[in-house]
Amino acid sequence: MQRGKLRSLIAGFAVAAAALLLAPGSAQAVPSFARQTGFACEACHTVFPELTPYGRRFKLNGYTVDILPQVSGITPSKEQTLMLNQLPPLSFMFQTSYTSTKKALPDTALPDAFAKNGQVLFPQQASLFYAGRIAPNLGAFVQMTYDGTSGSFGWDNTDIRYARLANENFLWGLSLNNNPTVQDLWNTTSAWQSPFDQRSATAPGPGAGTMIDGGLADAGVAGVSAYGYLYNSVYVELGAYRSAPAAAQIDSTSTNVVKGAAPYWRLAYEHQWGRHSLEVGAYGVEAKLYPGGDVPLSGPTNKYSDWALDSQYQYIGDENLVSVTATYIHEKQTLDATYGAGASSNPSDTLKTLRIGASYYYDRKYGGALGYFSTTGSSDDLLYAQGDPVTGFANSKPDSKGWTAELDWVPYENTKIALQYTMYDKFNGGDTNYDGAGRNAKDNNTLYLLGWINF
Amino acid sequence: MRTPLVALVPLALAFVPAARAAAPEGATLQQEVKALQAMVQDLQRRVSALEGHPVLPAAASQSVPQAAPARSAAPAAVPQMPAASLPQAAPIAAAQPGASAGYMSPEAMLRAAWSKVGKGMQEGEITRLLGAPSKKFTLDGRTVWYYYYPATGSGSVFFTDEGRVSSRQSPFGWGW
Repeated sequence: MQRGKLRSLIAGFAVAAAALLLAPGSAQAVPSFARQTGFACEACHTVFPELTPYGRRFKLNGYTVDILPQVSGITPSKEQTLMLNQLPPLSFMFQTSYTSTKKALPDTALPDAFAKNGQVLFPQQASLFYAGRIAPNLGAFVQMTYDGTSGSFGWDNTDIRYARLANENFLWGLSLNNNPTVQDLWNTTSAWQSPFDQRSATAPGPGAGTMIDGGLADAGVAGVSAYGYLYNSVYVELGAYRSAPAAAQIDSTSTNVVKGAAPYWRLAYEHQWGRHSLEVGAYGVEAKLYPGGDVPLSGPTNKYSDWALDSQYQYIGDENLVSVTATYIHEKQTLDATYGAGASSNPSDTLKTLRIGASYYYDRKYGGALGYFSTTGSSDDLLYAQGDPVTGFANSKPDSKGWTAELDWVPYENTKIALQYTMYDKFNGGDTNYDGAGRNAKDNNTLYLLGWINF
Repeated sequence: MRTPLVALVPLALAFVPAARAAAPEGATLQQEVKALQAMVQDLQRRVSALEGHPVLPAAASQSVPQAAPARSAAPAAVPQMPAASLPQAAPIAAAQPGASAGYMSPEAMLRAAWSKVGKGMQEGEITRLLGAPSKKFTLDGRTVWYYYYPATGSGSVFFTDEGRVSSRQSPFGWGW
């Protein structure tokens, strides 16, 4: 065995060993929710972070099912003004990873040199959560994250909910959140997609993506939505998002700034029978964005109209668990601002994303998953320009396609070790020399080992 | 080698009377231990009475915990379980004590009982360890026993279709 490969293998085992050493000998899976509700982890998760039907209802209900000792405030007229847990529902997450690509990435400073292949991130991410009830009918999932790649600490997924049960057949609620789809109940949408909810933070990823599939969240937004759940099966949600990047002010130095508000919608139907459940749904967003980037926040905008279809099937047996998820996203881009500025070849483009994945777990301990992904779209010389090595589009197309396979081991309910391999058939528009600098799509094939603990 | 072995025989015989004499002392010690156990149980009853918990017969703390009223009901579409609506699980003082003969607080006994709940155990074993649950229901087709302890928290035990434990969450916040 070559010395380099041996070192990579040792590094990989070191990550797995570190994750195991850090894992408490006995612990729980979704710590603050489990502490709050008294329910075992399997009540809400098949294997975290995928939700069960009850987990979806718990989220719908505003994370408020709670039976911990409370600190209560009551007015003389017996109106309840405060209900706080005696212990705050705090949790901690730690992820460490090892990433190796088939071919090392070019050095960022020296020509003809390569970066070290086989990168350990310790941590990849470390998060602090407040997850639980805040007050009667009010709950929150708040995540603050240290990002191991940027070395910075920042605000992450946040979903603050108010929920009321109108009657036994109808529940309604409000969600204040910072990531379109973070409030969603199924694991088909971008924020909580499974399988493959975690991917390498250092390996190159496809350069084109739709707004609903993470683009809007990356731009920095905040929104509010109202939702209703009828007859335990029909879900309807309407909301709107505005720009809310981490900045002192939003001006020409910002990018992708929402003009006004971007409406978001979601429809879904779920049928549950025995240990099976099936969801079919649709969702979308329509966002008018100022491209920014030294261009004033006035005049023409780019309009992104996204609609998507999704479906999720789950079988949750005592020992065997099966999940199949699929989503198809269609985005129409009307690029008035970008085309007018001469930064795109076409006045309008399309982008389409398809993801299908299936996972199987035995005894909630040993699992495997396989998935296919594809992003295709219009050819555009300027929007998808050759640019830099690795990230460029030499063929002027956004297309990326490939497969992901994963093996999982969950030694404790709150600890997951995942070994993932992503194989690209196409990357940023091509299979060979896709960036014009001699790099092939398969050079980005990625081996990723993840250790993940929640406590 | 034979000489030393022969020499050991009278030495061993010399200790036989002493061992015989020690037997009555062992019986005395056993009596004293029993008396101390009775005293501890009496003190536990008094503490329970002072803390407002129902006082159990002395035998209850040594065998099956006292059964709390249990209801068999499926949760609502969106389950709400305000503390006031749930009956208490078997009182803390009723949980089976651990192996230690020393004093154990009621909470420690409950903690010890929950720590013995293991994957694959049958419903009867759980009843013997924890008593009857505050509530029994099905969650997405799975049988759940829910235990509620006022001022302490709540825990749950999930069962497979065969009636064996698949997982649990103790009121003290540990799993496996």
